[in-house]
Amino acid sequence: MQRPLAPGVAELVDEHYRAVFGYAYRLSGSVVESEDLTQQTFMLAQTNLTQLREPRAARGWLYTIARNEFLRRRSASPWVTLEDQPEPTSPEVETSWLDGDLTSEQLQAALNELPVEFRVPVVLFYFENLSYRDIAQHLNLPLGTIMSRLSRAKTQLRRKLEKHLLEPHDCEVSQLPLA
Amino acid sequence: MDCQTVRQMIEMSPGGAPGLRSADGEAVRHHLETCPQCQSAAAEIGEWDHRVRTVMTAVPVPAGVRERLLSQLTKSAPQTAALAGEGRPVTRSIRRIAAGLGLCIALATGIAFWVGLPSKLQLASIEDATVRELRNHPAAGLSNFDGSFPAEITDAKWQKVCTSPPVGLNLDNRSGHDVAAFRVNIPALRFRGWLVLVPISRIADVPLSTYPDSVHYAQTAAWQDGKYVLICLAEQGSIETLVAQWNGSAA
Repeated sequence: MQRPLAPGVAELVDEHYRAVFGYAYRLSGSVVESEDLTQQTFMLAQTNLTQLREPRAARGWLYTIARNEFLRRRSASPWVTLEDQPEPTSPEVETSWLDGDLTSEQLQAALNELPVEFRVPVVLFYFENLSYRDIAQHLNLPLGTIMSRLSRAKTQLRRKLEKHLLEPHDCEVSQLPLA
Repeated sequence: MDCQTVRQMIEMSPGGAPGLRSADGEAVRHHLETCPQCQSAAAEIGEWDHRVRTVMTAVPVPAGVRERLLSQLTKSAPQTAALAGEGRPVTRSIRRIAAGLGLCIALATGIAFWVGLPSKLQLASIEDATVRELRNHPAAGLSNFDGSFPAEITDAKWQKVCTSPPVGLNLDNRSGHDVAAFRVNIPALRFRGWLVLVPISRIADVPLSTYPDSVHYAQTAAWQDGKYVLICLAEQGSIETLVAQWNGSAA
């Protein structure tokens, strides 16, 4: 049974689904989970659209929904489903070579090695472009905790990335069709 | 302002030194003008952050995500509205109409509750809510079925694989469980999941034949036996294989 989307929902999707998918992917490290998180984010957004008072704040609002949903799932018990099986394809299409080295794949591999409590503020800092103070507010944590976590997280990330950058790697370009 | 404080402040700002605002930003910039070491450190931090940020935000989106997303949103529009009990008014007049409708629904729900008539549920909303509930709770955290309906499995094949007592889920926030869910384990088919029973009288859109679907990446199949609508949810293994192998049973 289908009915038309509520006014504004299609536009919200068109404008933000790529960003929300990317955000969810950086948090989860899984294509399947990020698509599921994206769907869940927009479903919750559709249900609670009246909460969005300022259209310019839509992206941040959607990021917050996605992040809360990701954290809720991580705190819940694991459910063994099809998405836990090895992925047939990877999203790691070569995006850009920055100075001939850092790739999206290397970055994600390094992010995946970070514990969630470190990974989340890193994504908020680099992806959402939030200051430490804003991150502390969003995560409802003391600024000192965020300073400490981000300091350690950035050091770990840099160490892991430098290790990856020094290692020779294949530049495989996936055949995954892009939207 | 000393070098350590300046570097810390630069680290904390997503835009580096230029991104710092107010008096602090002014003090940092003033310090940088006179401190080559901090200038060099700030440049290095800025370059590294820029590299990471550029790659971080460049995530390719697989083909079809938008279409699947819109399809799912369209499909779930009635159920989310039904479960959450709210829509999205866009103008004052629509808000008034919605408020009026809400009042009518509340009155109707109150009357239905008063006379003890449970509301009908959409199959898709049951599948959606059930997958969520079962996925998000450890088995030990689910409550035993309260017996609000008999929950008898008539098909012998399913009886054999549903040996443990069912758990119950309340989907409409009213008293009593709406569905009974049996753990299913079929080692021969490498299948694990749940068989959910819902009284046929509670379903608004009873499936006429086996109705396969996918809810939040969990495969599902629904059918009816005249008394109940049965929904099988796969945690592991293939619903299609199960239905094919058990051809002749209700599924």
